[in-house]
Amino acid sequence: MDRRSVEKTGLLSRRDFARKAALAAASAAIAPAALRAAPGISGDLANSKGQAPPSTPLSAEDQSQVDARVSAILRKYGERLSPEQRDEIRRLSTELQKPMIRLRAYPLVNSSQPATVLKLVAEAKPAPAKPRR
Amino acid sequence: MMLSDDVLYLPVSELGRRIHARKLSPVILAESYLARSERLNPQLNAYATLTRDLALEQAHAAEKEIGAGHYRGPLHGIPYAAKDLLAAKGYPTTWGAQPYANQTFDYDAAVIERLNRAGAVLIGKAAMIELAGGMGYRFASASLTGPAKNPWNEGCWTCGSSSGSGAIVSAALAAFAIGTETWGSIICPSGFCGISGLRPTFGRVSRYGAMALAYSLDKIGPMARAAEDCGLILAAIAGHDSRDRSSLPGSEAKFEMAPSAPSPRLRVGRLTNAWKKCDPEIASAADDVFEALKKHVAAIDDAELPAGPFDEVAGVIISVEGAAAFRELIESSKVAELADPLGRVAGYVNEQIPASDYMRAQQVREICQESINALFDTFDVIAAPTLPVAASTLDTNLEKGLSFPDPVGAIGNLCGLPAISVPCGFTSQKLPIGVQFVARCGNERAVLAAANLYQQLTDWHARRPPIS
Repeated sequence: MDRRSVEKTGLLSRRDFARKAALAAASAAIAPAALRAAPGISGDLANSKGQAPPSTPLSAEDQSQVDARVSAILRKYGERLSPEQRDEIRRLSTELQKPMIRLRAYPLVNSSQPATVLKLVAEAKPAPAKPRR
Repeated sequence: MMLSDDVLYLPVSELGRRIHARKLSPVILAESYLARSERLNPQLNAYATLTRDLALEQAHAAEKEIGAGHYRGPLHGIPYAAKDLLAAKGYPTTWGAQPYANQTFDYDAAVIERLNRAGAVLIGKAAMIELAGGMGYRFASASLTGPAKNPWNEGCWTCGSSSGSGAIVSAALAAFAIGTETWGSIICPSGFCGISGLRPTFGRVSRYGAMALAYSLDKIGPMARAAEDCGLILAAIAGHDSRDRSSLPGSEAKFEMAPSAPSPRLRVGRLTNAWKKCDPEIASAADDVFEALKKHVAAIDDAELPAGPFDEVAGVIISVEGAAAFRELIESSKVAELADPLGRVAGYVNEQIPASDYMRAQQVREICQESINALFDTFDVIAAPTLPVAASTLDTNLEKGLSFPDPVGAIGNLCGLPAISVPCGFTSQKLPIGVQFVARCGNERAVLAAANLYQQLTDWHARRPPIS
C-alpha cells in the first residue's frame, strides 16, 4: 500500500503516522544511554555531544557491525594511524552504534519519503570559480 | 581621532542613523574599530585576518558617496567581520584549518557581494573552529588561530564554530559579524557571548562562496548587538541566488525589515522539554523572560517539542554530509594537520556510516518537519534557554563538559527553522545567559518581533563585557 492509498482510506494519515511514530520513539528513548544526543562525531557546535561511553554492551550483531567498520578503516588507512588513534577509532565506532540503533528502530514504511528531493534546474548559471591553495 | 567605547558599542541601527545624518564618519568609525581590533585581538583570538586596506578603501568610498547624497541604506559605512569560511577576494580564507591556511579565492562569497552592495565595510575575517567542526573537535583550541576567548571572562570559551564572530561583536571589535550554523554555531556563541544572533530559514541566505560542511543544513546569518540589527542585516543578505542549489525562490528568500510596523500579538510557546537538565540560574532567567513578556503578547503557554530520535538524525546527516564534503581531506594525509585530536580521526569513522542509514535519517527528518510544523499551528514562536549552561572554560574537554541532548537545535536545524538568541541575564559568575526564540520556516518576522519586544523591555543586550 503506498502512502496515497493509506491517506485515502483514512487508515493512517501522514500526520497520525508521524504522531504515532514519535510516540513509539519516545517510548524507546526511556533507556538512559539511548537518549544521548547525536552520534556527535561531526557537527558544528560542541559536536562531541553524545560521546559518553555506552552504558550497555552491544549485541553480537551490533558489535560485528562495529568490528566491520573498524576493519574497513584500518584496511584503508591503517598505515597512517598510531595505536592511540586506532583505539580512538574503535571507541568512536562503538559509540556511533547506539544512535544508529535508535535511528533504525524508528518505525518507517516504504512510502515514508526522505527529505531529499531532486530540484530541477531550468536556469543557466555561471561555472563556480576554483580556489587557489 | 578615535571614537569612544560608547560609540563603538552602539547598535547598527543607531550607527546608521548617525552616518546618514553625517554626524559620524565611516572612515573614523572603521579606523576606530580597526585600532580596537588590533589592540584586543591578541587577547581574544577573535580574528583570522584583518582586512585593513580593504576596510579603509570601502570606508572612504562610503564617506564620499554619502557626502554626495547617495545613501544606500542602514548598513552603508558600517564595519563588520565575516567568518573565515566565506570567500573574500584576494584575502586568505582558511576555514580555520591548517590544511587550508594558504587558500585564497578570486571572488567574493554571495553574502559579501550583498554586503558590498549595501555599502558595508569588511574589516576582517573572523576566527572559527576548524572546518566549522566538520571533522569533530574536543577542545576550544580546535582552530588555526587558537581558542577564541570570551570577552566576559577570558578564561572561558566563546562556543563554536562562529567563535570569532561571537567575540568580535561582544567586545565591539566591529558593529556586527556574519556567522554560519549547521547545528548551533550561531545560536551557541550568541548565548555564550551575550549578543543577539539570528539563524535564518534554510535557503534564505545564499551559501555561494561559503565552505560546505553539511549541504542540507548549512546556513549563514547575522550576529549583532540587538535583534533589530539582525533584521536589518538579514534584509541586506537574504535573497535568491541561482548559484546556491538550496536557495529559496525570490519571493520566499527576500526579507524586508519594517521596524516601524506594529509588533504582532504573538502566541509564545514555553518549551518544557528543551533541556533535560538546566542550571537553576539559567532556568530562573528564562522564567523572568516569560514574566516580562506576558503582558505584551497574546498568550504564553507550555509547549512540547515532538519526541523522536532527532538528535541522532541530525548527527547522522551532518556526519555523512561532512565526510562527503571533506572526502579529499580525509583520504589524503592532510587530515592529520588538524589541530584537534578528534578531528584527525573522526572523518574516518563518519565515512563508514551506511548510505541506508543516511537515507533513513532523511526519512525521519521528513516526519520531524511535519511534527514541528503542527506545533506552529498553535504558537508563533517557541522559546527556551539558549543553552542549559553558561560558557565553559577554555580547557574543558567538550566530550565530557559540554555534552547533552539538544532537541531544540536538532529539530530547528533539521527542519531549517529560523531562530534567534538574545541575552537575558547573567550567572553569579557574571557569564551571559541567553534565551532563544524559534519559529516556523520563513517566519523570521516572528522571532525578530519576540526578541525585539523583549529588548524593548530589558537592557541585557546593552551590557558591556569588562574589556577595554
